[in-house]
Amino acid sequence: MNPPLPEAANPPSVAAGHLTTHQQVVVVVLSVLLLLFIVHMVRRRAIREEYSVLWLAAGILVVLAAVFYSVTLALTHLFGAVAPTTAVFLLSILFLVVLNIQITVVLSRQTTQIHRLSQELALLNERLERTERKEP
Amino acid sequence: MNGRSEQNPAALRTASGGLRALIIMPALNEEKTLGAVLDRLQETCPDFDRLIVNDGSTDRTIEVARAGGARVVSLPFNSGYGCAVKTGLIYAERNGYDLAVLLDADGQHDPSSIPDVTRPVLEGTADVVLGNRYGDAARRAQGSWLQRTGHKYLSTLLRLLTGKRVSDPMSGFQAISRRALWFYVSNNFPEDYPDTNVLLMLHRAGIRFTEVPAVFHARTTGQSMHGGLLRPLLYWIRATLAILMVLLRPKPRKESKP
Repeated sequence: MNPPLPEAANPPSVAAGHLTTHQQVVVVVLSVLLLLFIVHMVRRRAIREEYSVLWLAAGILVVLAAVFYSVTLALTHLFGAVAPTTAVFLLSILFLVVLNIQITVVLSRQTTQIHRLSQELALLNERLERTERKEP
Repeated sequence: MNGRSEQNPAALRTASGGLRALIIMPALNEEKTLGAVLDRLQETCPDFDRLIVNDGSTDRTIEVARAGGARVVSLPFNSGYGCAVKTGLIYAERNGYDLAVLLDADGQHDPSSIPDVTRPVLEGTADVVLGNRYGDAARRAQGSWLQRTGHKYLSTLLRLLTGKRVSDPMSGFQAISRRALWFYVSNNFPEDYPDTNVLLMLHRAGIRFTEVPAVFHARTTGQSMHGGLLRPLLYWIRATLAILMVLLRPKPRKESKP
């Protein structure tokens, strides 16, 4: 009683050698919005310049990948992938991994710094209290 | 021995060799046990200064410590055992103590063993001494099976790497000589994970360590850091990783003041 599966419609652009203008516009608009948001956050000092670099680079790369689609296809070939989506996903995941490592590095550094600060604060406090009580 | 005054700790001298000694007790919410421990210390080693490193307690730990005649260094928030220990040892280093004793505030470590634990330092035969809970066969049965197996595994690993026999490498009951303090106040001390790896680092830094039997009591209140079933297992893995990391890093060296 299984109804016959509908023939999978061949997606027009997955394996094709070009992006439609529609697709390009969507990608470029989203990336530009991301870039504008990052710039806005840096301007408001909500993101430090040093940590905005990876994000800005990613946004610009996505725009380039959509505009110069041949580069994306070349990368797909380089990775040995069949569909450009695979290459794009692979690169996206790679970007997220790098970003996470950066965050972990910063987090570790800050944990150490916060501990050093809290130790110094505690020690200074004790010394201050002793000084105020005129103890040695 | 006599003529002790809380107001002038600098004038205090220990019974042994006129050294200035500091007992460091990291404490997190230990109001119930701390008072009794301080009383015992007053009886057993009145010449030692006492320092409570409050690690973000939310109870009356600070008040109990002050009432018991201890100095208090209070971290602004909970930062972990290693951070508290390091704070106490920085205090010892900066205030010119010759000897520091690490002691749990929960009553696990019996103050009557302090003379035994400090003896090798005072006699100059070791710079770091661990109080070992497996001093005799009766106490060997203490702790869960997992805990004991863990200790055994870590001490075997340590013996292979350093040639030293330490049966209780994670003991928090320690005596530390001034000669070894530089290591603890430096960046080498792994604040986030002070354990067997510290002993390996000491070995590589040329600091002599040893262990002596000490009297331990079962915890009466609070929670152990090493309880449960899963935690001991994760603990072994973490401890092994930490030891590997020590081997991958250069040997700790005494630097000019940081």
